[in-house]
Amino acid sequence: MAQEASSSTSSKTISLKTGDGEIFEIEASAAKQMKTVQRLIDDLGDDITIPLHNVFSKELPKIIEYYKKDITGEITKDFEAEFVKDLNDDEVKVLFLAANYLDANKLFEFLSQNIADRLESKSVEYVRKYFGVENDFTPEEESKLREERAWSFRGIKEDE
Amino acid sequence: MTDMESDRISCLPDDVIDQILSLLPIKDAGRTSVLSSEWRKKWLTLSNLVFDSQCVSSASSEDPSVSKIKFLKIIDNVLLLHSGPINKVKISAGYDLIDMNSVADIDRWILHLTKRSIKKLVLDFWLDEPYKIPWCLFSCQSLHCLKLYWCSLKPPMKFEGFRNLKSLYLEQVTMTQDTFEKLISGSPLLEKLILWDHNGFTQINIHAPNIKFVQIMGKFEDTSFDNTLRLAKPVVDQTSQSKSHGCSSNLVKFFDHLPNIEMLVIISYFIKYLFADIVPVKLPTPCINLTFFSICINFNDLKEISAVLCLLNSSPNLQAFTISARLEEHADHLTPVSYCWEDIFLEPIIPLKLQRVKILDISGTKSELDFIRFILLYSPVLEQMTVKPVLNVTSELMTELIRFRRVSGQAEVIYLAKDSS
Repeated sequence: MAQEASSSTSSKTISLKTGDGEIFEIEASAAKQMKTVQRLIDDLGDDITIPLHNVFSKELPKIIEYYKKDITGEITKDFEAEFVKDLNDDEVKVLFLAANYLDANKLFEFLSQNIADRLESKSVEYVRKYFGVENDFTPEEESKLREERAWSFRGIKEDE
Repeated sequence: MTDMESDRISCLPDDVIDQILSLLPIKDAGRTSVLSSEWRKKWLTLSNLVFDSQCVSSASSEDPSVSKIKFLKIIDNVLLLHSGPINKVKISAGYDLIDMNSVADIDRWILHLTKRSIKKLVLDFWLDEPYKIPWCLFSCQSLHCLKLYWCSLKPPMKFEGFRNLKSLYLEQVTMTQDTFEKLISGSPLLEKLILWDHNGFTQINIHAPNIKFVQIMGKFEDTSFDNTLRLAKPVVDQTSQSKSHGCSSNLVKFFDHLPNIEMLVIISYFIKYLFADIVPVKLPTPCINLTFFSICINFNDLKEISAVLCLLNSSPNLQAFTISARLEEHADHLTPVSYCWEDIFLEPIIPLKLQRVKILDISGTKSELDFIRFILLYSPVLEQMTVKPVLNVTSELMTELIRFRRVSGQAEVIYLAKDSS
């Protein structure tokens, strides 16, 4: 079981259990930034391990890392750039969805901007695959729509 | 990716899609309307729209009139097909995309937006003459935030303000004094006002009970704040001297209505305006919440130096200040002004709690050095004083500074040479 080192005795830590059964510790002040976690704490008490069914051991440490930096009040643009530098588009998406589930506003906003930046000038097919969107237009409907929006397709390389 | 992960990813919640869409440039967001019928619906109800040069990718060899037509068509296309309320619209374009021929179209777009409960409008384009804001905008009561550049405001007689306006930014906007006052006093929820280089009036009267932040930069003769009890951080930059000498007690008028002032920034000539009369030793009411000020003064004008001392005597909780030396147009800074130390640099009447002080753009004149000497002499808890000369005044200045007696044992005096930042 992976365990983060406990912080000092003066600040309270909360135990979080991921969907795949691993346990992580965060400080109570960091937990407050994640509204879903805080709601669970309010309902279940802060001595119980909080279960997070939709968050997994792959992404939780990274989220904890972000909020650890946040409670010291030091999140700079440089830190954020570094934070996403080595993540591929799918990894960012997973983090982003976790932040949404946890109702962790600051991280959610930061990652949504990052995803929007990554999607700029990408083809329709890429975005479809990225979000797993099923195309429910007929080929005729689609080509008509593309014509209507011709201005937004100018200069974009499609991969189909 | 495991099966578990791919299942999770394909159901993207609605509000998540909205969030991403709102951050994509309009061109990329437009393409998402082709993803699926769900995404098309989302695109059509997008509520934050930014129309700028990113919308139009034009080849450099393209005829400029073609780009203008493209830009126009895009905005028409989007606004026409869009449904639902529109939250924010920003039109930001250079002369290559919007020119005097577009005025009728801009009028039409604004009319359309007023019918869609627009909350935030930004018009950032620069035509040959200031754009005349159409009358329909003046009756748009859904506005929370208005940002206008190079426009002229001539509302109808019945205009009484914007009931829901919280933030107003006007840069190089032309209007009469009457219009300005109606705008401010008729917008009771106004919290933030930025006025840059206005045209058409010289008296700035601000009656705004909820205003918290004001920044004024430009030419004016007179200013007054009325019922502005919540204003904590005014920033005033008067870029040219008042021609008239104003009425007496500009000072009392100013500070009387700012009892909660925490931070004061006055630049260029405003200090001359405030202290037009005899400079008192201290203000009638102390500024107990003032913790920082930043001022420009002419060190050759003894009255202005006394003005700073008056402020120091009236701010019992002042922790830091920044003073920049202002060079007057008539270069009289070369002739040293003569005075007695005892006449000007009287011992402060309250203990000074200054911790950090910055003195910038000085040239090493007697009055500047005396002022520094004064601060070092009377600031028992001073931690840091930074001195930055405007010319590469030689080490004589530095030697002088090191010589001065400091009453604070821990005071650090930092001298920044011209090429260091």
